[in-house]
Amino acid sequence: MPLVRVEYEKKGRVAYISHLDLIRVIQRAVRRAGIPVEYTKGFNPHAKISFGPALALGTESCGEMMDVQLEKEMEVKNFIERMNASFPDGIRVTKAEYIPDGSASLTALINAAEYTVQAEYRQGGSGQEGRVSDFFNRREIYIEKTSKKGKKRLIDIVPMILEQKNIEVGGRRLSLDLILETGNERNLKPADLLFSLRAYTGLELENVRIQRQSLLIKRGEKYFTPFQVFK
Amino acid sequence: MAAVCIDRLLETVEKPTRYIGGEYNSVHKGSRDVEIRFAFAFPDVYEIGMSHLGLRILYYLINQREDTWCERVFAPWSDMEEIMRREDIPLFALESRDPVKEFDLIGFTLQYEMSYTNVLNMLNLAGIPQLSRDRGLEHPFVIGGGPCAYNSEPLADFFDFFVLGEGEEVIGAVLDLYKQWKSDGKSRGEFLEMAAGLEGVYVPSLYSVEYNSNGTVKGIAPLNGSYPARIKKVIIEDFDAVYFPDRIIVPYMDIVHDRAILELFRGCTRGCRFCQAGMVYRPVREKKPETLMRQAEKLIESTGYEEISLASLSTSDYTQLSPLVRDMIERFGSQGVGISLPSLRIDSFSLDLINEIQKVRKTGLTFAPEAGTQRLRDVINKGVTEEDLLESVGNAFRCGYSTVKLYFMVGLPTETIGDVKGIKDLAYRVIDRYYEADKQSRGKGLKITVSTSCFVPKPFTPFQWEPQDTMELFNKKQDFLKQELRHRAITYNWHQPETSFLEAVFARGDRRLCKVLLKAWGNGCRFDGWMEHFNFKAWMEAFRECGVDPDFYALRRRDYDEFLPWDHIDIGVSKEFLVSEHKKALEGKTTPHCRDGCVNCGITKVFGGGVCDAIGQS
Repeated sequence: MPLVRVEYEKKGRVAYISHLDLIRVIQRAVRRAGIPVEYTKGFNPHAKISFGPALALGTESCGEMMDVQLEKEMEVKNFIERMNASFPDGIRVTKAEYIPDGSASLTALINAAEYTVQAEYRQGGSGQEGRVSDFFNRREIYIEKTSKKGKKRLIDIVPMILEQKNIEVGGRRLSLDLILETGNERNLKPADLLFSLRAYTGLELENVRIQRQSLLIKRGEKYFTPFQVFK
Repeated sequence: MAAVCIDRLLETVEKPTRYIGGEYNSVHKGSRDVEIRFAFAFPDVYEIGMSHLGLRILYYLINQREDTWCERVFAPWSDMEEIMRREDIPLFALESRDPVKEFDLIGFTLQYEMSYTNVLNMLNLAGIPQLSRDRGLEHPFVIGGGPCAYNSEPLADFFDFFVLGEGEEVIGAVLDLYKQWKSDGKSRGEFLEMAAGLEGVYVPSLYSVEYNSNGTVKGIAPLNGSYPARIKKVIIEDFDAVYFPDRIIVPYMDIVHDRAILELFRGCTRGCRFCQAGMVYRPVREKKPETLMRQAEKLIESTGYEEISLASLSTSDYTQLSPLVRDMIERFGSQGVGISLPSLRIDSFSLDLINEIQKVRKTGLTFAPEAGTQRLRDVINKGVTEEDLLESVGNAFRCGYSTVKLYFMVGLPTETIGDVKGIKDLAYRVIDRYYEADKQSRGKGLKITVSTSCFVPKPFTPFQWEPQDTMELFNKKQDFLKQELRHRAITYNWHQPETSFLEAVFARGDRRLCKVLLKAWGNGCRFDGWMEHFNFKAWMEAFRECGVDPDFYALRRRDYDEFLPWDHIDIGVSKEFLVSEHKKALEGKTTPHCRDGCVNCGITKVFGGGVCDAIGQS
């Protein structure tokens, strides 16, 4: 059965669609597009599509991932065109490739994501640069997490900040480019990181814009895209 | 016009997809490319309003015009309202996010009385004066339509005009007239005077009300002879050819009716005496099966929906239902698209049909006997016998169904405690039928849901003269059922009588209720149809503060010769017919189905003999 791995954007108004709603939106888009997708059996048949890790509500993304199971092979270019004609504004396929039989699922593979953050400080003033770099140089940063059972525990997020690609503090602007641990096992949301940034530095942020740039697979010290690694 | 900015705020509200717009198939035009900005307003939350077929039809019908951009606006939920008031964000249209205050016209669809305070709240959030007389040239015209527009007197002070009847027919004329008026540069009042000349348009400010000393209405008359003394609703004569959209907006969130909807026919041939829709939507007019098939194909292709609902007031009365359903299953079954049949009547319930549908998707079974005894079913002219019902239910059980919902009303005219007990007896007989069905074929885990609602007498029905039961009596009857319906297979749902009481007040109200509505809104009332928001105490305070007695409207029996506040509206069904139906009801006599012979309701006298399909085919 041909399996297509798809990268797509979620930008603008559609950033406010929850992961569950997004699944329905994509299911219907696939049906409209007339793509020969494989359907599940049973009383409520739905297209066989599996998604990468969920995106937080309100966060835009340039690199969301899904795997679509087709009934029969079709040209990738045609696939992309038909999907894009059927999506609401803001959702757009940027890349699609057939992947080998027996490839591991996106959720099994993906363990990192690159995020950019743009924000402004509510108050101007001096010393912000130092406070922000102190924060990112800390040996440990604890945040409180609530488990599904409602238990609260403190966890150290420093090991979950995998790369600090760029940290810029200039005037009232803050700009970050980070790779964070992502996935079912261990997951650091940029919003949680910003929450502790505020808590540690006392800096109030506004006009915060978070974008997920890509979903990644970290192997040793190297990063790969889901189009490069299948097992 | 400057669009509002809500992006940052959306992260803090529940269900932000209620407000973001831009859904697939939503219509976006350039504001400079059109002459008229129209806001279609549904005075409830997004997921309710988006389910409404009228919105889906009119949205695309209006947007077919190159000179007009029709956008949607819904009532913001309380969390969003709080933010909008705090951040000073005016009510905005979903597509452009432009403030609706700057639109040319706002059309509210009035589906139920308990949405009235939301209308006032939306006008206020928009920054539009709530009273029509306070609006100036800079404000939009506020229009009302939908079933509650037939008795719009309790809203008379807030609306510039109402459209009576089928919007597809009137709205184009209203927009043409508006364009002409705008280019002529005339006054606001002049537009209303011109609009009053359109068929199906009622401008309440051009009519005055006189009262009798006993508080009843003496008459409602036009201020001068150039406006019609009676305003006649408008209808689509050729319903098969009526505009129907080939696409519908596909929402992001799970709305109440999240599926493609086709309209099999308009009107109803039944004549249940409690039912306002059955009277006001006459005459009955069907679409051809091939028309419906074509519309279904287009909708599925353009939406990707996985379910088609075949809607009407009484779907099993569609003359070619069986072949239509079979054709649709054949056409769509392989794509995993299911068919659902709401409003199926139990007497013509077809087992084969249900079995066909089940092949694709299993849907629940709902029966609406409405009353517990045959005597009372005859009073309301619900032409259903107990044997019909039990046989259908038995058949369904033998087909593997085990979940059945039964809908009843309490407080119907002439009801006794014996009739209430009949609800229990019927439910238990349904249980018996389950155990009589073969163990191999029936489904496991019998579940029967019995629901009772409180009867609300409605205008334009044979029960329009009847008093409603008091809230105490409703509670007594439902408490009785709570005691009686104690079986592990039965779940009993009852209705709080307070909302039904207010519905009864406003359904048959007059203009003196406008001030109560405004006061209730001021007291914080909104989303009155939602239990979490309904505040009966605030409502009763509003009545007290205004010196208006709600019992006068809800609990009073009217005489046949009393002028009713909707007597100047002509729905085509004659008052004589309603009187004769009322008398027959009290005698327990039934009136046959329209297809078994014309019952002379009057509709063909008003609209001509050819309009009613029931006559054409009988």
